[in-house]
Amino acid sequence: MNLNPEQASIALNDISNAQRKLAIFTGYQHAAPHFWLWGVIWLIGYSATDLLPQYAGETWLTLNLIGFLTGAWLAKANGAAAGGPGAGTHKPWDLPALQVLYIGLAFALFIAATFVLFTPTPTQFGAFPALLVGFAYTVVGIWGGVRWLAAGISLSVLTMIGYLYVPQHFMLWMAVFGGGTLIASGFWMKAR
Amino acid sequence: MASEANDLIHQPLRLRLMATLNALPARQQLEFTQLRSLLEASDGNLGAHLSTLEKAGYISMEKDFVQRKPRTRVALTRTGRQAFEQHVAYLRAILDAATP
Repeated sequence: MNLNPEQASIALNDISNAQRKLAIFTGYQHAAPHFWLWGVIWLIGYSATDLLPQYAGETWLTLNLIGFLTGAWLAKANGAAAGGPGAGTHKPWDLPALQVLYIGLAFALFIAATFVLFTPTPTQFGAFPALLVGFAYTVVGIWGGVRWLAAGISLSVLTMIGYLYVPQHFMLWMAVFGGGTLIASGFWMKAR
Repeated sequence: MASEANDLIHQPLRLRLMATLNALPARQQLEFTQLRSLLEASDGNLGAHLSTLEKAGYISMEKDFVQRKPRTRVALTRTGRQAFEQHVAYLRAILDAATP
């Protein structure tokens, strides 16, 4: 069978689309456990901040450390399972794990620097990181797929609703709706 | 480079199937249900095309049970990867030849 240039072009386009769909699917599968992890961390962190606001700094420092280290371990496990950069290695830190740690550190430093420049109220202290994460997911969604976009928009909108309309119970609001959105997004990411 | 299209691969669903499997690292498998979702194909249609590609030696299939449910995992063979890459090279050559 011989093909003409138009048929060849259509076939190459189909190949490109199939590969893009696989990349999005793989991204969802790898992201799901991270969404669950941070959903649980937010649930615990915001609840603890509501109950014991005087220990908010220590609570979040501890939870974020746990989150970043567990996230790095998850990234390494994902890479090994997928035959990617972590496959077949027994090094404690490899590329996917270091990427997660780098992203975590960048977020933490940016948020810390912002709080030095603009001293936040307790509600702003809870809202700003969530809004930043929501914005990041929305940006990732441009390339990574509609599920990232939906997670980012939901998180941002729910954060603003809580900030504007439920300021007296904002931390509990974020525990339920922020953590809940992350956990639900994780299940959606895992779905086929 | 092949001088004509690979008829086995060029069928639209098989082309997308091969492209999907070729994008995976060597020896990595995809489950039947994942492929079905990615390719938006019916069970019967996908099963028939997988069978055709398996007979040609382009893919390998492993069947087992997970929590009493049957599971089929599919991977591209080395022969399949070479055949797909030759087909892609053929497609690119057609476009290159048509470019003034």
